[in-house]
Amino acid sequence: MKSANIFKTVSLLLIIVLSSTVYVFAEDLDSTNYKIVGAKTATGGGLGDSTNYSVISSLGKVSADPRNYSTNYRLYQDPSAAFLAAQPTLQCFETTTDGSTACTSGPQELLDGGMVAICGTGGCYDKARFEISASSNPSDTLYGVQISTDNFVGDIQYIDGSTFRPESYANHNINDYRTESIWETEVFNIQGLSANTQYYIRLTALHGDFTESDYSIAANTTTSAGSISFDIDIAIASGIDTESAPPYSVGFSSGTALIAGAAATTATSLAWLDIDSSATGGVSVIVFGKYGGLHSATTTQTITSSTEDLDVTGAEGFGLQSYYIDYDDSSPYYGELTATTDYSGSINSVGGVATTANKIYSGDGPIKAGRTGAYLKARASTGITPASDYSEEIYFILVPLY
Amino acid sequence: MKKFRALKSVLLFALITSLVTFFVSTLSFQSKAASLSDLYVYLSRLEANVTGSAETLEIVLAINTTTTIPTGGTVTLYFPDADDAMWCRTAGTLTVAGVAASAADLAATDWDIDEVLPTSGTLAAACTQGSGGSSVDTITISNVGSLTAGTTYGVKISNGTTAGVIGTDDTTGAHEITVEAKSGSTIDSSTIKVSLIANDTVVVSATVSATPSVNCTISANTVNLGTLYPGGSYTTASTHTIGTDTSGTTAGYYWAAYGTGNGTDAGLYKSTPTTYLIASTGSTTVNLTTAGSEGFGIALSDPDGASEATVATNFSNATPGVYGALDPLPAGARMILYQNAAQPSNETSTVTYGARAGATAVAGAYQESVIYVCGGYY
Repeated sequence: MKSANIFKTVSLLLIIVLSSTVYVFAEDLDSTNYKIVGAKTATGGGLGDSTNYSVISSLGKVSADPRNYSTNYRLYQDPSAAFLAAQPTLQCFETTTDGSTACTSGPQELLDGGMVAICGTGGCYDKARFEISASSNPSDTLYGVQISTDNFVGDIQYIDGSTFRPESYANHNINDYRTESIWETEVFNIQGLSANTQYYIRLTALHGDFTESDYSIAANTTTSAGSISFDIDIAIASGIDTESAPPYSVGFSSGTALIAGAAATTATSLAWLDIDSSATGGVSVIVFGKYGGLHSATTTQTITSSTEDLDVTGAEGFGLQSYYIDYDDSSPYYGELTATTDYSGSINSVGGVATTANKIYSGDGPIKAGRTGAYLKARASTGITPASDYSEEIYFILVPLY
Repeated sequence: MKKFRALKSVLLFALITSLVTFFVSTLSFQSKAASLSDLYVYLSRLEANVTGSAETLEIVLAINTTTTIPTGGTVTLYFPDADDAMWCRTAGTLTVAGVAASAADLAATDWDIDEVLPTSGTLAAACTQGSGGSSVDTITISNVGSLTAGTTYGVKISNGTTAGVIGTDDTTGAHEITVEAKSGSTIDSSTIKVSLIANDTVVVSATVSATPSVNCTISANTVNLGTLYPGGSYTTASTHTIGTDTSGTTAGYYWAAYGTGNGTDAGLYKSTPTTYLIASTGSTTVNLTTAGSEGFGIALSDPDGASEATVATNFSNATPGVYGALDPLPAGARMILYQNAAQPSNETSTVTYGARAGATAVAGAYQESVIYVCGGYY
């Protein structure tokens, strides 16, 4: 008897729990447990019944859900739909469009060149842009954004209305509902995404309490894998477009040999770098040397490298001086490539190539088609013993800032 | 009794409700991983196939989490599946230390390290090798303290003192590295790319030459022309040489000379009353072979015949009795010998002096100081 009671109680509870997820079908209009009483329709509408289904139909009020209507017919959902905001649609949801876009309200660079024009080579790897098609909703309608990596099967998150980053349901609240204007003013209105990942988003509209619409049809896009390339070339000062193969070498010899006690000498060849990165934060180009200067195994002497003016009386040293910087600046969303102060000197002021790392170039955003060239300059003092085996190995490192 | 049964039913109801709620909520729970807010991976070498022995690799990692990661967590780098045993050349313990700055920092941004990676105890790091599919090389830093969202932390990893060795993959191009900060179910991670190139090194070679110099010598500083007779023939003397050698990158040398004479003109000068000047007249040559002539000059032998050294035209000793004329004072210096080439070993030129007194010359002691100037072409 007790067992029977427990079974009944558990069954009741499971029915209560599970019933909260059961959809109410048309037959529920007049089921064992529920009944719609006093349903009225306008002229032309009415109640209809068959063996398994009952339907209430009306004329004059139509659904805003685009899934429920065609060119000629629209299906009215239920009377409460009249109070709901119109179901929005997505104008665009993009990460990697190149050359064109479905977006209409973003910056001109986006409209002209797609997402690549504002994210750099390959497009956006960690952010995206969507735009809202408001349907018949007024401008003060609020929209919420749901995002998923599996088309809302198991992974469902929301876009934070302030940070524009995905957040959990637990952190989702009314402040994450924003107007179309606010959403679209933010150029990258979805941020914090993972690279090379397909994302789905869908929207709801809200225009007053208890008026949230159904979700829009989902749109999807895949973030880029990110783009990075780096190359070293050795060429003379006019070799802006020269590509050379390793090994890379630069010599102070013959006409550019260093003369103990003489003035600074500039090597004929420059160290050129090709830089391309879609990293949001930009890039840092690092330089360091094996010996910290031009070292001779024969004499065991080193012409020490440091940041200095080689024209100062009695100076001795070795270093780099930026000569050329170029990059694609067609979009304000691309980064700017600059030489750091130590390497931006003129005449014979050089930045050092120490055994510890120093930054020679810095980019503050996606760098597209970056090209730099740096002079190598050296000066030997009278204290340097002549020899032909002074050398240094300079390492160039590109660090993308993601 | 009825009350007791009612209480039991209520308790049973509450218990079952709790169980069902727990069951349902457990089924629906998902750990939500966020992306790292900011991140860079600074490899000290971008060259493919750095083996970690002859060439070593250091990795500086800067991370700023989106989520605050509780203490006691880990930071792990996952390398591509195709790169097994390349990034972790020898599995084992690595050297790890928090860093407060690196050369890659971008000042005043979130890519500028704020603090060293905090510890919950002592930071430790180790790498493991992947093997086959779905098994990748990893570098895991453990005992990581609480990571506050919005703070960029720095840490450096290098070879261990005994076992762990890290390197780079042996293929050039982009490689994806996933960086994960994790503590319990709280996870932030991002996948980024680094680019390896075939050669990241520019070899600079230099020859240092000796300081260029020229060594000039005069073998004697006095010349005695003997006695000149007014209206007599010319006298000559060849009692000294001038020698030259160069070093380093010196490209050649030159000799020039000028006289002092009476201060206005060069020549043999009798400075005591009655003064008289046997002038080194003209700007080219003095021909002392002509009857009744008077004058003073010098001539030089060619140090090396037909080779590089050249005696200035007017000062050649090719014609006996004809000498080059000198002008006074430094402003009047005249080139007498030059060479447009280095001269590693000393070579000499013999200087011949010639003089002839005219019939009107005053008897007495005459003297001229010929000043020689030598220099190098550099």
